[in-house]
Amino acid sequence: MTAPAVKRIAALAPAYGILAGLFLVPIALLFAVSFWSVRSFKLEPGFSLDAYIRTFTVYGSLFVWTLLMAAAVAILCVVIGFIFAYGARFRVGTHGDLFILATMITLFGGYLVKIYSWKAILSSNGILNSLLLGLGLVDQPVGWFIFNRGAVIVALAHFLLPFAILPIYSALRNVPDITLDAARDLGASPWAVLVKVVLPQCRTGLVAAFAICFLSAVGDYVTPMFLGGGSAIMLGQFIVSEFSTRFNWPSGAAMSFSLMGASALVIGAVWLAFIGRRR
Amino acid sequence: MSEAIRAGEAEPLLRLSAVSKRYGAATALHPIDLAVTKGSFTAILGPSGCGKSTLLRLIAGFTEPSTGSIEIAGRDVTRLVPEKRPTNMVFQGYGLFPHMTVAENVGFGLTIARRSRSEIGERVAETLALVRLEELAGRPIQALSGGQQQRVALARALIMRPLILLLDEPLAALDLKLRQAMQTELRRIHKETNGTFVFVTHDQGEAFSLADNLVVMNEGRIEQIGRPQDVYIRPKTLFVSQFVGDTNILEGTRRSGVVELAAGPRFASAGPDGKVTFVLRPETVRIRPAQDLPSSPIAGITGTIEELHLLGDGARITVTAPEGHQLIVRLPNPRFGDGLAPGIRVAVDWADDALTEVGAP
Ligand SMILES: Nc1ncnc2c1ncn2[C@@H]1O[C@H](COP(=O)(O)OP(=O)(O)OP(=O)(O)O)[C@@H](O)[C@H]1O
Ligand SMILES: [Mg+2]
Repeated sequence: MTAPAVKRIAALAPAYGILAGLFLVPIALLFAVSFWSVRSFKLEPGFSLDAYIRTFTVYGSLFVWTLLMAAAVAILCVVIGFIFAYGARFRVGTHGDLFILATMITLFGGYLVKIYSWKAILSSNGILNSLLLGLGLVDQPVGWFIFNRGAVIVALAHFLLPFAILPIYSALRNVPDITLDAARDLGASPWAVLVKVVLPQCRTGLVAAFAICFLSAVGDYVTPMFLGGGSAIMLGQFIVSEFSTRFNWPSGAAMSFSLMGASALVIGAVWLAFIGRRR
Repeated sequence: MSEAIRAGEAEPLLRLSAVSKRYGAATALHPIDLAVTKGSFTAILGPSGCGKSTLLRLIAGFTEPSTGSIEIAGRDVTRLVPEKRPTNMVFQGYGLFPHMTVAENVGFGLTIARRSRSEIGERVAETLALVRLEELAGRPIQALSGGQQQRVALARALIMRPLILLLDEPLAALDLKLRQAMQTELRRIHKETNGTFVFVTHDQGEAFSLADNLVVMNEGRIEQIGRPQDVYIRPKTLFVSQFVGDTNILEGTRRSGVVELAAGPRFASAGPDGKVTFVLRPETVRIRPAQDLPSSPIAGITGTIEELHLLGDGARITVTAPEGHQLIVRLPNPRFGDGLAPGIRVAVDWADDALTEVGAP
């Protein structure tokens, strides 16, 4: 190794030190714990796969549902986020940046405020039902707006939307207008321009938005707690209870790592499908 | 149309009638009329911001005119979207698709038109050969030099065999060598494809070396249209004479058919009385040492050589007359410069038809 290379690595050391201390060490500890076992509320070090086996036998279908819901949230965010970012980039003109700033402002309200707003909108005595009753479209409050997977997906997508808009918008800003003009000049309809010229040029932004939203949604447990109804519907809710009320750390850790691994696979697959194979 | 046939003229391929473009309160283009015949190579020449790109974008369909109509091959295309027009454009800055290879870029238009794979393959190869890029077909766009990118942009438009090829300063980003080489290629391609080219540039040398039809623009107006040599020899306005090549401007007054220039000479010239402006091309001025003068006065000016630059392909001489009037003289062959040196008294004159009267600026 040359001297400048050593110097460069040395310069990076503090940053990686902080990352290791705050992130990698706790994760490594938790990973070790996932192979331990619990006997009468006491952790016993060792190597056992029981916690993982338990994850897939007891929570198998919930595990799949959690991934599906996170994927639904992420796809919803990417699609709506793209429409929004596209509008800001190509339709609003020079004020596109302000437009994007405005979406960031919606984050100030915070996470719980958004959940409660959705509760106020969707519950049986909520705004949506009052509206429908008032218009005479229904004669009894509709019960299925809330306390199900749909409500959780809608609320999560609403919260995560700005995080999808940002990477897509910055990718779209790097798409030169002139490539759009050139495509139309060569006979492409507006739809063909979108599919063959705009989307391929911003695909890293789309995949980044998908990853951010998917990862945030897959581990969430607060939204399903408030909007998902009586029985837990996402794995995160069980991970919380394994750590807190049941004090079964190995099980909680194994569930976390299984979810992490599965998420990595999903995002890897998406990346491969849209970016990896090209160039 | 019937009028043109009766008049025995060929119907132009492209016709703009009273086309103008306003952006809010600002006028990018005043109403202009322009006709381009099939097979011609038209250069649109003018300074930056004079509306050249606006004019091209109007023809291609990217902007809608505020007034007037545009006809291509006898068909009104004023409200037609760009993808439906029989024109293709080489953009200022190319606008190549960065996520595609050279061949994919060139084949894009045919892919959109859903041509068969074999036809696309054949025509891409053929067109890449035309711009001499056969070996680079599989390269990503990022891995090309500026000149190569420019040729890809040209190929991408040429492959569509447009009725009219629009080129917006496609050579502006290239160095002199490459630019000259590309000019030669463009001329060759124009001949080989028998196409109709409309070429925008602010480089007068480029316009002259390429075009058989020259349109000079300034501040959103067309100043003059004509064959390049005619525009050069007979500029209609002061702007054209100054923008197109070196020029001498001679001011004077006309009184009952006789013009007296401020620099001295008098000559007969019909026209209304009042202030007049004439332009005189430096290479039409004759110059010789003053001692060779016949004793009778000539219709020229005597003065002193102020500066003499050898240009390699000639000499550029500045002569100062007694009242401070300056005249630029160009000699094509340096040998004629012999015997001429700064400080020497000289007589300059010109043939009667070398002076061209221009309208007020
Ligand atoms: N979208 C627009 N909105 C407002 N003004 C514009 C717009 N496009 C062009 N203009 C104005 O119209 C005028 C002509 O512009 P145009 O691009 O046609 O110039 P140009 O002759 O191509 O110049 P250059 O040689 O620098 O490319 C300019 O004054 C420009 O500022
Ligand atoms: Mg321009």
